[in-house]
Amino acid sequence: MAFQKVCTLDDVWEGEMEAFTVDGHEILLVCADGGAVKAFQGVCPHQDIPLVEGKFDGEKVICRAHSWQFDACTGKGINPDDCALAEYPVKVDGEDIYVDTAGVVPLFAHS
Amino acid sequence: MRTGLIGHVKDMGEILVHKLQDGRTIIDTAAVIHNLKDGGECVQNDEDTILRAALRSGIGYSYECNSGGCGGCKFELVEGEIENLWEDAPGLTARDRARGRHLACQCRARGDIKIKATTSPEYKPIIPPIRQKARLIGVKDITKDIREFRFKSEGSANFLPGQFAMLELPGVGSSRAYSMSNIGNDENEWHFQIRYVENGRGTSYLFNTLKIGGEIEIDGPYGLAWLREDTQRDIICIAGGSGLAPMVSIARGAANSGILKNRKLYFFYGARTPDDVCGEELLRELEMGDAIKYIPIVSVPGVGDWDGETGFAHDAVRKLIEDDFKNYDFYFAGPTLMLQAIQELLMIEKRVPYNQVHYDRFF
Repeated sequence: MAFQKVCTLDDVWEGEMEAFTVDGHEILLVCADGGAVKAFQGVCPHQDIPLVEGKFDGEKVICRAHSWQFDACTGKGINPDDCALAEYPVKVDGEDIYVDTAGVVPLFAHS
Repeated sequence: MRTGLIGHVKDMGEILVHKLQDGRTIIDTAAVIHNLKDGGECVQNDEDTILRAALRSGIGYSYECNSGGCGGCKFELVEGEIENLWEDAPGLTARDRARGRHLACQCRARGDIKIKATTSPEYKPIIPPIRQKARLIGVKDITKDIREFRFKSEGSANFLPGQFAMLELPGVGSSRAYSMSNIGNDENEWHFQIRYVENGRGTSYLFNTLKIGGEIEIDGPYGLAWLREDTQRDIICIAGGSGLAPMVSIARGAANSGILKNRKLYFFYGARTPDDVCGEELLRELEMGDAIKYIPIVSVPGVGDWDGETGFAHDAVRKLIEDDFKNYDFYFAGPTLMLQAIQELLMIEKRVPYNQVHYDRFF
């Protein structure tokens, strides 16, 4: 599967996150402070909670259920730190944001 | 036992014919729930929901409140029919409904089903829940609106400190989750400290209708916020309102197990007014001396002579615990907003490792 257009840069401003479904994958697009757009699995690795329902402070995505936090640049768990969000490759072409879902599998909790 | 179930010979709607491995055939209303995510299987009997059936079978099915509020037991239905006991349960968001998710604590299988659901060892019940009849044997007022109810069950009162049970009250409809305030015992006693809820059908039944000797059903234990005895850290319990019971149970469990010989337990109790403050006497009965420190906090001190802490419980914890929060195990129970504030204090601000933070989210 190749890169597919998901949205435009205007849909995810700096400091914002938004959820999309691409090829059946639930994806969270985040635009961290500084403007880099990243794509991660859309649900928390802990329980089946959509991360877009949580908070994003420009640096970390915080799940609403148990305040699990993830680095918006790497997807790495901050607390707990033994888990992570699966990341999808992102390509920005002009104003358009593309994501490639090939081979990416959501990760589940540390236990 | 249905563990020998190898398949169905015929589907007769809700009545199923099961053929067991030993050749016997049984007909009943049981249904087999197959989880495609981990390959696990369990049988749903009687009045059970999908979640209770799984936990009763010893499966570590993801959950928390067992009451439709937290959303921790979501699943995807792949095949078969389900009956939804509470369509509007707040545990599902609009997004979850659009994703086709259901709550295992509010759904029953109608015949065999295939689902995708999260399971994990952390949810595996150490004591699988059982449903049994129980009689009210005593009541005692703790504050003007919190009353202790003592029940004696037919079988064992086997549970861990900090856990809860589902009370099935005649005529009330859905079951009610209440935490035990005592610890597991051989006298078959289950003690609950329940706060009266204005116009609440469950508490109205308990406070006004149920008499000594009256019978209800208790299904338990449930809950993940049970006392961990295998650490060396001091313990911080934070209770608000009717969150008193599970924290008293944690303190009793800690005292009973002997771990307070070389550990301390700080017990914060957040109340609305000085009249609502409670719990100190229950802790003093444990005769733990300085090992248990009780700190009450009131949010509405009024005009009286209250000279203790005021404000919110989580602010008092932040103020009074001076060393690194990572040195403690935390247990907390109480109103939703209090739980959220404590969770953010511990997880985000203080970065306490998640395996030292124990609570069940009720809504």
